[in-house]
Amino acid sequence: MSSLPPPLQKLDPARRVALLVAGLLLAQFLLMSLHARARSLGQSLPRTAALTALQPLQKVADVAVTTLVAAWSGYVDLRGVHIANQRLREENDRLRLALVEREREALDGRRLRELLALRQAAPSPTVVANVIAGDGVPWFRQVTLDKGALDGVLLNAPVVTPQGVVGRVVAVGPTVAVVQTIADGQAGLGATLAVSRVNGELRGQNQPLCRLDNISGLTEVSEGETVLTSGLDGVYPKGLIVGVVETVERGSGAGLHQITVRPSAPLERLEEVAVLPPTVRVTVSELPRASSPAKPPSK
Amino acid sequence: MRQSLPQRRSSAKLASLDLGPAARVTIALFLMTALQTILVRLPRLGFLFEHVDFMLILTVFVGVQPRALRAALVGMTGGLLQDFVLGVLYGANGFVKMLIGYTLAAASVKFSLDSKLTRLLVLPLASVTNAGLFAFFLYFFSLLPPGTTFRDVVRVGMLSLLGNGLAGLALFPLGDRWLGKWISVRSNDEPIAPRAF
Repeated sequence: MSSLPPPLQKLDPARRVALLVAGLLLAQFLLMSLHARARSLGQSLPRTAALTALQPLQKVADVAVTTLVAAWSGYVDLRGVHIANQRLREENDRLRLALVEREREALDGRRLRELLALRQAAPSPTVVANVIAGDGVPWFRQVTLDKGALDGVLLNAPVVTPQGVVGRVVAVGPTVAVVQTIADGQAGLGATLAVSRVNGELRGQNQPLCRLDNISGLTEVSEGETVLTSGLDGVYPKGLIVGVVETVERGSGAGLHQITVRPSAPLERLEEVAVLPPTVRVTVSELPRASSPAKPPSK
Repeated sequence: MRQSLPQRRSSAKLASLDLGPAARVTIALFLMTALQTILVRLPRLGFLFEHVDFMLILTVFVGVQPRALRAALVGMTGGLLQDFVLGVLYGANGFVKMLIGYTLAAASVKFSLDSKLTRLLVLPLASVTNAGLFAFFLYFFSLLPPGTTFRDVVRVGMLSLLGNGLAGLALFPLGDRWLGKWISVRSNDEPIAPRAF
């Protein structure tokens, strides 16, 4: 207490605490301002550290939850089985549990084979990762992967499943990466309607359905039409499946269509995903310079 | 191999989880953050946990004791941890939860909020404040998802009121077992430590 400056020594402890809390609140408000201004929403050292520290816990918990859910599903399945003999029932139970486990493994294998096929079809090396956590708030739609920079995951890399696009990587730690899904309210991607080949912008709404904006009312759009990535956003490669048109509120000549799209990837129950290499962006400064401009003819 | 006395003491401490309050609170903070991100992945039920703020429950649990600085620091640390995991607006959750923790603790100097019933009544109020202030900060810094209306904010606030209230019913007794002895302020503490701390 004696180390405090004299004006603070005169204050009673409750006021000193109030002052300290006010100072910390102000500091956090400044931190908010700085962070909002920086706009580099994903990647930062404290975030990477926090995510990396939590990753082992999340990974273990994910394995535990997956196992429990598999066991519970097995149990629920078994409850419906009627058998007369106790011994046979127990044996049947054991076999069914084993069967459920094998089926789960077979499904995993099928998914992995599909992912492998996708991996082989992709032009550059991809990383197959497991989803181990969500963001836990209703305002955003992000998921955490169990692979990070050490496995070759890079910032802004597109993330896909065999069914369709999932999102892009917004933060990478050594062993962990965060993906902003296309359903996130702040996510957007360049999209093309597969039949009419018209480009628009797909935006997330924090709901199962996304919105497809900027499609002219004169364009012919039908429910069930496939939506692909256009490649114009510089993040997602062209031609990946995004989803299918769910509803169309027709616009007029002057008005735009109001289109909702159901993502093809199972965003609410993701397990394995493939992280593609980031699309190479070529900026103007990186373009090869044309030969030096011809000098104006001298008079 | 024989262990020296201090070694044996530390192993015994670990075995019986004889941890101090700071260690217990730190473990609780990490567990709450992990739970928040893990439970939303549960099949069929996961979406319900989007409306439960485990860190807020911990802040209220600590905040209903008349120790303002401790409540504010627990709220701030937990909130910042949430902010780092979410990565959207650093300091937003830290600010809101620190404010809630401090306000509750300052109020509990005058009113007894730490009874089993009162804290359950305080939690929904804190939930609405938390959802409202967090949404306000997102709006203030233009980070609220496009198309979000005031109605959406009210809906999220009401759902968090329900979610946190129900989760509090289960978590407060667990908190009593894990942290209760270390968190609760006894009446004979007063002469040694001012209640505001």
